[in-house]
Amino acid sequence: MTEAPATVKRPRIDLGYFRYQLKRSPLTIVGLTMVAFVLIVVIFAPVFATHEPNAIDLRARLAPPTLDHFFGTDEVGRDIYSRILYGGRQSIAVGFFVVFLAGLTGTILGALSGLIGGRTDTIIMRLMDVVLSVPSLALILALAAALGPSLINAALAIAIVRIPFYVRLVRGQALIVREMAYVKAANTFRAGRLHILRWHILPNTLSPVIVQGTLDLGSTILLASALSFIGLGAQQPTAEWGAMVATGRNYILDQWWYSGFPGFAILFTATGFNLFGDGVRDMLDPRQKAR
Amino acid sequence: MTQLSPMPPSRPLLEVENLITRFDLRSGLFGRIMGRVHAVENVSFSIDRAETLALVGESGCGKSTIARTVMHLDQPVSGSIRFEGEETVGASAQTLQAFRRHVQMVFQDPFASLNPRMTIARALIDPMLVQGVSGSRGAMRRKAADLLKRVELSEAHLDRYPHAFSGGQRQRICIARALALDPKLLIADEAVASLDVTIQAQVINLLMDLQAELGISLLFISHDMAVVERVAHRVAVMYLGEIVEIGDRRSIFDNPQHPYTRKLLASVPVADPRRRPERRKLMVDEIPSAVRPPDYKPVQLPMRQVSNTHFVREESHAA
Repeated sequence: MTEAPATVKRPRIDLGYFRYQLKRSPLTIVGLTMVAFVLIVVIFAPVFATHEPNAIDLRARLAPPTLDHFFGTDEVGRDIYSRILYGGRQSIAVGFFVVFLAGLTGTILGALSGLIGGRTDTIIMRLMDVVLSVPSLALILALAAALGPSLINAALAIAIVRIPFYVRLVRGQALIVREMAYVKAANTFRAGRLHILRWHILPNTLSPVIVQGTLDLGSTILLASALSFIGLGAQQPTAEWGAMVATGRNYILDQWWYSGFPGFAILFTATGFNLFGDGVRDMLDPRQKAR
Repeated sequence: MTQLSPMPPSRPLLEVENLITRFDLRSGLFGRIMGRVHAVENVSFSIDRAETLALVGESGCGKSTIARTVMHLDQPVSGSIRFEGEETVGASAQTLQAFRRHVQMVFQDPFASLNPRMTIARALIDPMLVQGVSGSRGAMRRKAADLLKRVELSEAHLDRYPHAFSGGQRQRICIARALALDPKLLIADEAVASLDVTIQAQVINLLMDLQAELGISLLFISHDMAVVERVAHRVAVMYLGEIVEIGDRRSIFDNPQHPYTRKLLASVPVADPRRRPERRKLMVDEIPSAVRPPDYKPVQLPMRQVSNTHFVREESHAA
């Protein structure tokens, strides 16, 4: 046994191990690079944009990609490149908002369900079954239509539909952890439910939730774009990828760049998050870490 | 650390009398009681200060339920559990809270007994935090380091996570955690059953050393007669929720009276083939189920006294 000085506190997250894991999976690096690229470009959109995203230029309508307009222009002469940069803000913000909201609500409900059990558990889980029993896109459409067409309502609708996945995940984990001997040991010195929740159940559910969240980011961005595409998400004149693809569809035969570039942005971002999410799952998997 | 309190030595630390624990089996739409598990049936025993009582018997005979009932993790149907002369069944929440500090438990599986996401220091401090032991973080950490030293681990291990330790080390950490509240009674529920033999010996020696140093009492639950012979001062043999024989170690091992005790002793492997009994009856039959219909009235045969310290239950017929 190697002796370490007792005063040195080990960092909670092992950076060296993290780097080692990254090296072993090149796809995660690709995903991480893609995500980082998108985030930087979108956050610093004002720096990278060449035009005002909503500035109309009727002399340059539906212009093909040139040095002035990298990705061409739309039917009222707005610069598509700049609109993609700004539009990404909407899509990605929706992604994070949805994952945060669904993850938080789902974790709380799932932990309560698993920890308390009995009638509380039955009520929560049957409610989740109801949500799950309806096809999610149909439910999102109904919710978004009922709440009224706007990006924030679309995000809420998506979040509601995603909650059951987190509830099931956390409940399952809570049921496992609840039966572990260390929780029984905590019972022997009379730890309360809150203590067990805070110190035993939540720390042991966090990594699956993070993995699920990272994987969800990609599909949420896709869903948000889909809602905007059918007109239930972002409203004109706000730039948003799904909405841009939708309007561009009318011109797809002659002006491929109109829906082509926003579509590629969606594809690129979703792929990036999915690759990264897969990598995070592999890294946080305790069975791998145990070796 | 715990001092031997100046109580009169005549009074046992823990007295359990006529303890009955049953679990209702409900099923159907209205949760009707369809049967009961008679897990612990009219059990009485006592443990003196600094004494080890071993509870032996095969799986499912109610040993762990006794431990859980004594810890008040399961509610008894009836009976009395007195700790230092004070009744704890039906006692107020405050009395119970104080009582729980004095009784701690070590579990069988050292791999599941420590939260993989807590450092050893945090795990050792946890009981102190929960029980509201006063003192600064630094003081608690020093106490945690002392506890580790007590179980022959080094202070340097404080900030490691459980996965860095072997089974025996983890079990010693669990013992350290159980000692964090300075208990007077330690319940070891099959605490060495999942360790290999050399590590078993280590952990058993540690428990015996701790007993000698701190004067704590041990309720040692096991199915391994060889281990029991080493640690126990007195032995209680359980079968199907009842104590069938109880007595000091020598009487039980040298002069077993109940046929079940004899069978248990016959199942201890003997290394030397020449000393191995020619014909020994091994236990191959399944233990009968303790599930009974709801209107079942248990019949219990009286205990017969063999000697001052040795009692055995009468048998209805030769088993």
